[in-house]
Amino acid sequence: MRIKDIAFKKIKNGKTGGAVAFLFAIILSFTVFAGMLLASSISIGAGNLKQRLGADIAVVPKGQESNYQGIILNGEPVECSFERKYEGVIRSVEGVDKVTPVIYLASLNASCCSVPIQIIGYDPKTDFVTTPWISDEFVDKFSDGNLIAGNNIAVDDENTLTFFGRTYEVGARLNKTGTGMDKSVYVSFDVMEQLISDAKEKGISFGDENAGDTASITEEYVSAFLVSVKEGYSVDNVAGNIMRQVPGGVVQSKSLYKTVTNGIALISDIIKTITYAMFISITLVTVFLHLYRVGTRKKEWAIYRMMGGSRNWILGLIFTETIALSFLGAVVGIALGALIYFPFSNLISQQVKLPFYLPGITGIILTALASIAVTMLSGVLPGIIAGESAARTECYELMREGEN
Amino acid sequence: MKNKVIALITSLLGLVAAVGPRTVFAVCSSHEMKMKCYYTAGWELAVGIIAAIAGIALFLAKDIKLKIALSSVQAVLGAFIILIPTAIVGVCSSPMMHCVSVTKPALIVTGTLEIVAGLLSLYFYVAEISVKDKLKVA
Amino acid sequence: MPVVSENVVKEYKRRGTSFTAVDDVSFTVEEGKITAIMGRSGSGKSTLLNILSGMIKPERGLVTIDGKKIFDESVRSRDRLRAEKIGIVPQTHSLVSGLTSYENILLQKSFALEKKESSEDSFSEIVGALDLKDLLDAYPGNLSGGEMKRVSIARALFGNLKYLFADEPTGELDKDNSKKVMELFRTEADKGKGILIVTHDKLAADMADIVYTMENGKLRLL
Repeated sequence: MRIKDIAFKKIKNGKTGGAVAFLFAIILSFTVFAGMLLASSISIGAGNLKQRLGADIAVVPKGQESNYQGIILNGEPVECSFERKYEGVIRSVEGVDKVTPVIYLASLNASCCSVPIQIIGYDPKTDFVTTPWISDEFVDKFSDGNLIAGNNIAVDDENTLTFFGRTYEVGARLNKTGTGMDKSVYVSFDVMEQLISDAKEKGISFGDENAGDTASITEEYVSAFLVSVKEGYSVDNVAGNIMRQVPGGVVQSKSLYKTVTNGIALISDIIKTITYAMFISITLVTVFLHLYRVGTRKKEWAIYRMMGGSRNWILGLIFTETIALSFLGAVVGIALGALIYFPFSNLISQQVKLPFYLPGITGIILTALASIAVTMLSGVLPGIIAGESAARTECYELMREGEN
Repeated sequence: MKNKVIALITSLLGLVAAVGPRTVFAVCSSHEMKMKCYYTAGWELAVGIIAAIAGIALFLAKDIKLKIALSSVQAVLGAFIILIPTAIVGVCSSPMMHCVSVTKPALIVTGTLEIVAGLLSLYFYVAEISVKDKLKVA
Repeated sequence: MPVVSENVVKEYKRRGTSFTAVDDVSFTVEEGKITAIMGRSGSGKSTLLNILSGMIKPERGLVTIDGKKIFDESVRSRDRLRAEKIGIVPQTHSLVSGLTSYENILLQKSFALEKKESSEDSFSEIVGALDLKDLLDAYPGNLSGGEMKRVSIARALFGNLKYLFADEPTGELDKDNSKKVMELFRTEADKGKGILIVTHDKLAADMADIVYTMENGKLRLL
């Protein structure tokens, strides 16, 4: 019977006294695993966001800056209007490379969803932000319909969506990004005109109420302008110039992205703090737990000493038991973490309100291995301390009981 | 002792599966129309109640073969608890709906725990029977 | 070579007063013979056994095993001595919980560095002689006191060590099993093992080659 045979047999039969220590190992492993998954999910989401921002500057109606952020990050639907005549002004600002208008319309409850969703109109003649993401590699194309749906939008069986009482065919679906793009629907301006017209009939107005001919409303009103800045020009300067000439607000993509990275940094800090605190406190607690369980098995140590087991041998046995308990606890903690995190990832991403994208299988495996390593590490010190304590048992502990 | 605790847990999990979709992790409201998740809640009620009763039976049973059978039943019911919202009946399609982000995962967790509890119970009883057989020779 | 004790003295302090458990004991445990020490509980015989196996250090006196003065050696060295040379059957229950009888019996051998060949045959011999065949898969929690004692004896014998020290080997055993144990000891002694038993069972002592009595720490040849 080697040390590891004895240790595993005792653990299997529940004779180590280590149940509570096992429980704490589960808690530590669960915390580390779930925490690391959360941190990487929001980090990957942020990476996706950065890729998709496209424009350097968004020019929005004054006061709508935070709403614009809501669309991009969370897909929170917004409606606003801006006179299209400013497009020319913006184009003429020094340093401006490309300008494209976009229209934001909020649906009523669409047929697909229990909540209103964002409809985003793009101008096919000038667009450089949306159409790159509609190219084949990013899209599941299924028909010739004229709506592009974000990944989270569910289409009906006939690949249609109904807005304001009219049914449209959905042509394709964007791949998942983990950003607000997943919860939006994209249409070209001509389709948008139909939507605006139908919305007006339902009592939702877009643009000035006195606007005349709604057939070409998009000629007069849009929601925002997306601007890219020429190479070599400072985005801050260009943004400043635009603001001076146009009665609107300006959102820079980098500040949008900064909001996200700040949010991530905050959550990451919280996760790190909780993890360190748990690691230290659980290690300390398990020192006492293992000392206690070793104290209840004094007779057993005396038996081994009687048979010739050296102090180091006993230390080795305790250490093996402790590390094994940590390992098993780690595995169970990871299983529980996975059981909660993956099914509930949708809910978690909604609560976190940041771009969120689950790591791939490699990332998950690495995270699991890291959790196991951390949990086993927390067993090292307790194992040594408890082992030393057991090794000091004198063998006549065993005999003395006989005397009495 | 631990077997009795496991039996109670399987019963409790059955209750959670039965009642949860109508309360703590409710499906979408069926005022306007009955969607898939409404039917999922109905099926879960049935399966959950059966599991709850089976758990009580497992707790009270004396015959070990019956206990083994009931443990297996709990594991199978756990599988159904998972399959109803994911494969058999389903829930709404949009990930933003409550039944997708809350109800379905909650049932997956409940069902998984039920399977684990059922299998653990099964393992312990089968181990007990094989030890008894070995010692019977003595 | 025998186990020799010379003028061994062991004192304990109990509630302030000094109490001599082993009082100037000198004797020898010969190889190939069964030596018995009889006496009432508290007469010091268990303490003497513990001293001879190197587990308790006496105040004065020498214990020599195979020519080595064991208390001049390190603790580690004495651990090794027990692992390589002395099988011990303690008076109280000494099986490890969570391991079957079979695994407990194997345990003694785990500590010896030099792996002596104890074949399948010697295992079946010992198990057969002690009537343990049907108890091999049982855990200590399911065994009676007598069954546990027989497993401890099997464990001490399976190591095939030079000496066997047994504290009340027939304690908790019925007459039949007591006889079986002593007969097994006789077989082992005939093979050259040096056996020391401490007992208050007269029938067991009757089967020994040399019998001592111990009273108030003093040893006397019978």
